[in-house]
Amino acid sequence: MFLLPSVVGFFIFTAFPVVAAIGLAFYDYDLLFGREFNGLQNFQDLVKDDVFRAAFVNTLYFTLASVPLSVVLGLGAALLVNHALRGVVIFRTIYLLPYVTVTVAVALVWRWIYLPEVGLMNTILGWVGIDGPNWLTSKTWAMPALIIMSVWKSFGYNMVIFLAGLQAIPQHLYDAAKVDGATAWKRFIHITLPMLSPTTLFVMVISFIGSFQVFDQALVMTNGGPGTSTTTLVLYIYQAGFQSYKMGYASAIALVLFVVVAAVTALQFMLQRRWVYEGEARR
Amino acid sequence: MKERSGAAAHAFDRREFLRVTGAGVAGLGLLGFAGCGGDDGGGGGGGGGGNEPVTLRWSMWSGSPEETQVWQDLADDVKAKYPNITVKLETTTFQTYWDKLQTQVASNTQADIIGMQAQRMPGFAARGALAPLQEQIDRNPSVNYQDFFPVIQDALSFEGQPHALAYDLGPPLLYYNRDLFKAARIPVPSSTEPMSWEEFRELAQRLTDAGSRQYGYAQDWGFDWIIPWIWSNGGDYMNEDASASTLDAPEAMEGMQFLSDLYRDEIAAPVTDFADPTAGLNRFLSGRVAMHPNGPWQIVNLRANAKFNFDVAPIPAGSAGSIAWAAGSGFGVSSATDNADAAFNAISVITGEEALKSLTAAGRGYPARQSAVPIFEEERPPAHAAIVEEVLNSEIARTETRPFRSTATWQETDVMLTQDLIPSVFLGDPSIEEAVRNVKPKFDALLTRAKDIESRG
Repeated sequence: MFLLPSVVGFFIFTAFPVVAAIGLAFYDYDLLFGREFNGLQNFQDLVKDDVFRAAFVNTLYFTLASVPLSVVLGLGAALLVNHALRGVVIFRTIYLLPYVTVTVAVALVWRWIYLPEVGLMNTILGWVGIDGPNWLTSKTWAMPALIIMSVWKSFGYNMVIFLAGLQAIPQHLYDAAKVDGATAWKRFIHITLPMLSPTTLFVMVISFIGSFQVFDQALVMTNGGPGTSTTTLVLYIYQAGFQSYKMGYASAIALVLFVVVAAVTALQFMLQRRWVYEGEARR
Repeated sequence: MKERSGAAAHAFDRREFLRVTGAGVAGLGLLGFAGCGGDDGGGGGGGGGGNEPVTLRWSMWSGSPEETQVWQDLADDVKAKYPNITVKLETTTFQTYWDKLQTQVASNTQADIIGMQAQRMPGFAARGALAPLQEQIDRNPSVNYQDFFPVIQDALSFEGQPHALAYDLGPPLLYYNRDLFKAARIPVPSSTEPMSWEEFRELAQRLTDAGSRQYGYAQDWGFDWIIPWIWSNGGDYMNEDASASTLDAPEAMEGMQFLSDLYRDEIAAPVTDFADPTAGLNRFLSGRVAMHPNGPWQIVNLRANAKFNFDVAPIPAGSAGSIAWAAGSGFGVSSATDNADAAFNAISVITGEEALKSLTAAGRGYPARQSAVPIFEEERPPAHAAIVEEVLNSEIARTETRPFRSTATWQETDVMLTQDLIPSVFLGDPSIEEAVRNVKPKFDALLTRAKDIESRG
């Protein structure tokens, strides 16, 4: 009974749109005209669509670069602030700040950072003798620019999760290892990493899903350009649906994205048996 | 209050971002106010709208509380003239306006009076969302339709039928920074005779000093601003009946190549931001760019934000002349409204002579009615404000202004061109030939789709 409001809300605002979107993928649906069933036509068009291909590749590029960086940096930051030192709380807060700031606002500021002549990025590169590129209007550098900004923004969240994981590792394991003469590096490899592996799995899954959905940065910083070099799948869904009025086609792209995310997530859960330590956690 | 009716804004810029919150709050406040206003029953009425009290919804974009207030005042004017008509203003930012309007039309919840832009009008008219207005214009001679500039009548007509009454319009003009010309001791461009492309390039070259980051020229990167280069060289982007793209014709390619070369040779300020459609304007505003093409709707913005003297001239003349488009914005009547006559009466007030005079005085851009033009010309700079009217009516030698040519799939076409053509023009990669080879079949397919939509609509 008490669940009723949230269950009703779930069906109206989540389940129904999801099912409807899957169905719409098989229609020719001009938002202002109404729809017509057209079977697999949308998917046949997708295969031939070079913008879709570019968006797919761009999204993979973004994900494969930003997830590892963000996870490693998150872990590194967590190790750094996992000390009972005075003032460490301040650093934890600072690292988390980018994550809690609205992406659109952050992206606007990073647009200035990336300005070629007067921006912070190229000024700093200039100090070490590097003539920085025209970040956001270069086909080569626009995507790395988005990746750098996104990693900066997201690693703080990973840090918090890792920190919780680190603090759950029993101290006696480290004490025992020290007694056995294990170095700090060995303690990290043989205790910290395995004990942290369930946390790592969670962080990886969340990061992958988040990365596949990258949108705001691309919209605000580059609008998918130059050309299609930063057009991501979600940005392309927006363009197809709201700029071309092709809702059915947009739904088809969304369905492809859904299948990819589901497949990658399933793969991660299948592979987890190989590397995730479940000992005490499962009892 | 920056006019955004032209090609100016597809995405939002920094200034607009800062204004969004304020505008939203103000919009809500005004809605509340209008909602409480109620109506005092049938009064003078007249003009074919009947005397039944009606409440009309009016959707419009607005970038600031001040801008919203200007529109609200006009809504109140409607009430003064037609006491039985209450107009409820609903505003949102320019960027979100089009997404919202589309969703509203799809769910049949659109307002009775719809703010519309020339470039996007065919997309809505072809899908049957806007009512044709010719019959009502004929029935109401007091609208004085012939007072509107002919070129904007055409730009807001679809299949020969007016689908909106305009409040503003503009052709691209060549703005120039008088101070930079003075410092370089170079005579300023003539405002009565367009210079040739060769003269323009040489002038831009002389005013460029890349070492101190000063450039002779900068333009916004949208396709709208590439069109004058194509037209002035005798080309076009689609054929007469809009059934095939003609971007691959030599005249069109040469025009784009001429522009592209300005960027390749660093006579034009490099594009540093493809997310900001007004990047070129911002460069010009910084005072380090000598010449910049933009519409007269930017004059108010320049008066407020340019820290230098500026003036306007016709855009440079290529082999075919100085040829540009005219586009603007206005108000249409929803084809789903129950009160078409009242809605038409309301827009005839909102775009009436008095309204356009007050809009012009309030700095809302260049008036769509010729009778309101003197108000625009009262203020300085630019010293040559009077050329706008001459350019619009193609009264200057070698200068011609045509209605903007758009289709039912124009918005999609614009996105495609931004992806596949714009980088080659401004970055030189890939070459124009290669880009056009890729663009041509896509453009053709979009034109076919537009025809299909038109025949269904």
